[in-house]
Amino acid sequence: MRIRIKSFLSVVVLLFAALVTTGCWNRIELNEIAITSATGIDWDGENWIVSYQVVIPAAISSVTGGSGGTGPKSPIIVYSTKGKTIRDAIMHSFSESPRKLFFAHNRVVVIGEKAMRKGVNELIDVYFRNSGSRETVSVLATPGTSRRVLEQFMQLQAISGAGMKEIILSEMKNTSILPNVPVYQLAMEITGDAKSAVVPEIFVSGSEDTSSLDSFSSTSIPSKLKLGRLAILKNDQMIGWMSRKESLGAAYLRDSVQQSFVVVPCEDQEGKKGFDTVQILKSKTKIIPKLQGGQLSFKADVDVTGTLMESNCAQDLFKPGVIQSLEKEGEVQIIAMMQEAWKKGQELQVDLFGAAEKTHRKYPKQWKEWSNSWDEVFAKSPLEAKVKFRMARMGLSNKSFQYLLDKKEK
Amino acid sequence: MPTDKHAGHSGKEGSPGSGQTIQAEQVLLPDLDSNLERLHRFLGGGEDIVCRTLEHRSFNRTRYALLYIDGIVDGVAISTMLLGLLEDANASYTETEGAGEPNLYRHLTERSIAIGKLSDVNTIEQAGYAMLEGCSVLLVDGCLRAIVMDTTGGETRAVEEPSSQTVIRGPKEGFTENLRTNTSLIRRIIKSPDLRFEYKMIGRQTRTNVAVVYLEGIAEREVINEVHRRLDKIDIDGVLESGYIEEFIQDRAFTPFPLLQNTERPDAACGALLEGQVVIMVSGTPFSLIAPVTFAKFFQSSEDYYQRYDIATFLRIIRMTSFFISMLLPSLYIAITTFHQEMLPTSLLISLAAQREGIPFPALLEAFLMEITFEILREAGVRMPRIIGPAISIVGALVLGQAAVQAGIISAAMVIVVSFTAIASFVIPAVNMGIAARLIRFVLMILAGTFGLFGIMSGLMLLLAHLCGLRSFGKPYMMPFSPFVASNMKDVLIRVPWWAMRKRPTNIASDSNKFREGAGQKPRPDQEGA
Repeated sequence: MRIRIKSFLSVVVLLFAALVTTGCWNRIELNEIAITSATGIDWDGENWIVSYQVVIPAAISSVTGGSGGTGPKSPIIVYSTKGKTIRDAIMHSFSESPRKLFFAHNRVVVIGEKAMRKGVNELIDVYFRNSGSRETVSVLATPGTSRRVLEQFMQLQAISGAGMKEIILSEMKNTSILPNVPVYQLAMEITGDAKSAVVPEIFVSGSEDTSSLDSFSSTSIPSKLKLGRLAILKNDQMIGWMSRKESLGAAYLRDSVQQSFVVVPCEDQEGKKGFDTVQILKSKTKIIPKLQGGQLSFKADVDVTGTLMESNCAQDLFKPGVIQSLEKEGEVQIIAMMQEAWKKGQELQVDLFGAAEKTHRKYPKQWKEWSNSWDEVFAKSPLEAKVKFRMARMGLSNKSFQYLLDKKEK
Repeated sequence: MPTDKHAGHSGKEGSPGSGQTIQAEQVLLPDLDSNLERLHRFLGGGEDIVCRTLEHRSFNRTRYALLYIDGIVDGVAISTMLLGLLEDANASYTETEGAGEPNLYRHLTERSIAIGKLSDVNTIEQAGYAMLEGCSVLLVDGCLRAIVMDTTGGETRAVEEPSSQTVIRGPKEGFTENLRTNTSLIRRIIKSPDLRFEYKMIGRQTRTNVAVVYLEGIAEREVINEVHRRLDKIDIDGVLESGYIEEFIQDRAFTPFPLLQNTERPDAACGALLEGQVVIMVSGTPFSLIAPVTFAKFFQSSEDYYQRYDIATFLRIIRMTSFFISMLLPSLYIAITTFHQEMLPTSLLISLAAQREGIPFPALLEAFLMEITFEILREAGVRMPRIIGPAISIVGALVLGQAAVQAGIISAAMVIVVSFTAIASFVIPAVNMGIAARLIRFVLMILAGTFGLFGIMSGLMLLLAHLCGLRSFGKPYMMPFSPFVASNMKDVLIRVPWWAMRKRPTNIASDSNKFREGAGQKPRPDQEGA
């Protein structure tokens, strides 16, 4: 019994010791952390400049109808620190921020063009080495400095860091022009066979800044954050931009189309021209490398299903051949886009389309030879694109309104 | 009063079966007056001791006396009996059966007394204890024995609806403080000759009647014997409630979990009897004990068996969930907001952070303050006079709910967590299990505040190990889970329809009598219609 009491007491003492020595633990209260919603990385030629968009929780809750507060306050605050390395810069934040930066809820990392051109390997290392930040953070590139992007307010979303992530996700889901590239995917692509990657662009559209809450006193804001082109990375350095049209073609080739649109030219019986809009609901791409007589070529098989969203040609869609011709036109459009993207890739000597992996798998023996000079091999390989377009639905009305109007006139 | 004390002590030893020789001075003497005098002295006198001396017209005008303690006897029975005695005393009997005391004695027992249960005693002590139980004693001059008549009664509480274990559907009667009423409530439900009541007397001074109830052939012999053994060991001067007994007979002294179930519902007690458990009823309290018991039993309400099985299953899952909420929610909140902020969705984190803005205390202290405040409020709610109840609840709700948040002392989220926890803790049907969850909650909160989720997990693992080590009358406490008994699982987390529960819970009930219903009773309307 005495031994039991002794052991019980020692457990109590140990527990009590644990209670008082909590300072050594990584326990941190919610009002001791600065929640970062977006991080910006810039390079000024010598130093890294890291910018942080920090959420001010109290201001957010007063924006969303909390109590107290004299007039609207900015829900976010942006500041930057400089350092020899990225982590060095972050360390400098301790000398100016009253709270510890907390990166687990960081949504996007915006990289300025200069830093992109210098290389992203250091950033990726920071992400993979530290447990605090997540590898699911979306990477965005911006032509100017990233700090300017972080400073912008956004409509509807109080925290623009979270808003940027929502924009890129919705873009990827609904138009598929730009992909959402998390840090881990960027790392995987850079280290892949093709040693290339893409990063979507975000930029401030408009000349003025929307960095003051006063901008919200009118119905339109002076500038907006907008997604633009696609940054092309070779190894870990950016080498150029791809236009939105090209990047949609690249998306087809990369098989990353979830939902998209294609505008198809059409013609009625009298030769009047117009456009139909088709929503792509499903798309599947297969890239097949082919080796014929020492010449490597690629074949892209695309299966697309779409639904008609808008038609301004006077067509009777019930007539045989009309739908088929629309499908044909759609195929032509998509093939053109893909070819354009392919050409751009060849021009930059960057294989963005995962062709390297496919080739490696199919021709492992020859790959040894090609791997050293893959970019040149790729630049010489032609693409043969084949699209199977299927119009699944035509919406609720089967004849276009223009057709009905024309008929009435007669 | 030295004699009283002496008598009180020897009462325990003098109880049936101890075989002590009767001391000479306590034996009833032929002289009525000296007997009366000694009996009065034994009981210490007092106004409530009623002594009525009568003289019979026949039998040589023999004197005899009726004694009882007023208030604990059934007034109606006494007056009927007294009426009969007086009438008898005035009658003259011509039969010459030989004059003498034994004859009057026989005459009284066989022809005169209008009471069902009679017995005789031959010492002052026995007569005195019988009177303390509520019996009436008839002493006859010149006779060495006394007649003890069972006139137990007096004011008791009526059978009312149980206040602590209420149901929506089901019998509304509850046990009372009167043991006889309670046994009758059980007898009325189970009209089986196998139903056994075995009585004991525990408590040197209180001499509390305790009944061990079981169904012969369904309850396991081992368990019954063990119950008797443990009850016989108890030596205490008073038993005022079954809780006294519970602490003496539970398998392990140090555990927050109740190892015996208590109920104030006769239907719940009968349900336990039918499953082979033993019920221990204690005079003076409406709460009977049920043993052996498993952890899962505390989450079952007798209503589970009256409502349809799907409803019952749903309610059981709700109760289990509430148990975990009541045990874990504050500690999870502390652990996640102070250690694992990355686990929260961003918008939730921001709104929590906004609420914590300007709160002076760390989350652990904040939670402790609120939990303890709530415990105080709850305790006040139980103890305070009913009239000032509303005042306290208004103060509690306003001061704790609103003012504390507005003053920036406590965050609103913490108020939500604490109130939800509080509500969840009242869902558990067994109050003592709810209290166990509340006690564990505080330990887990400290663990969460010092080690985060790691601390909670270690705490829960220790708790699980402790639970698996517990026994209730030798039966594993976590029974259907560990050791795993598949057929018992039908009535633990879920309740299957009655026609599917053919077997009694194995390992609790006796192995010789496994089935409680016929096979193939699943309703099949098409066959009945054909």
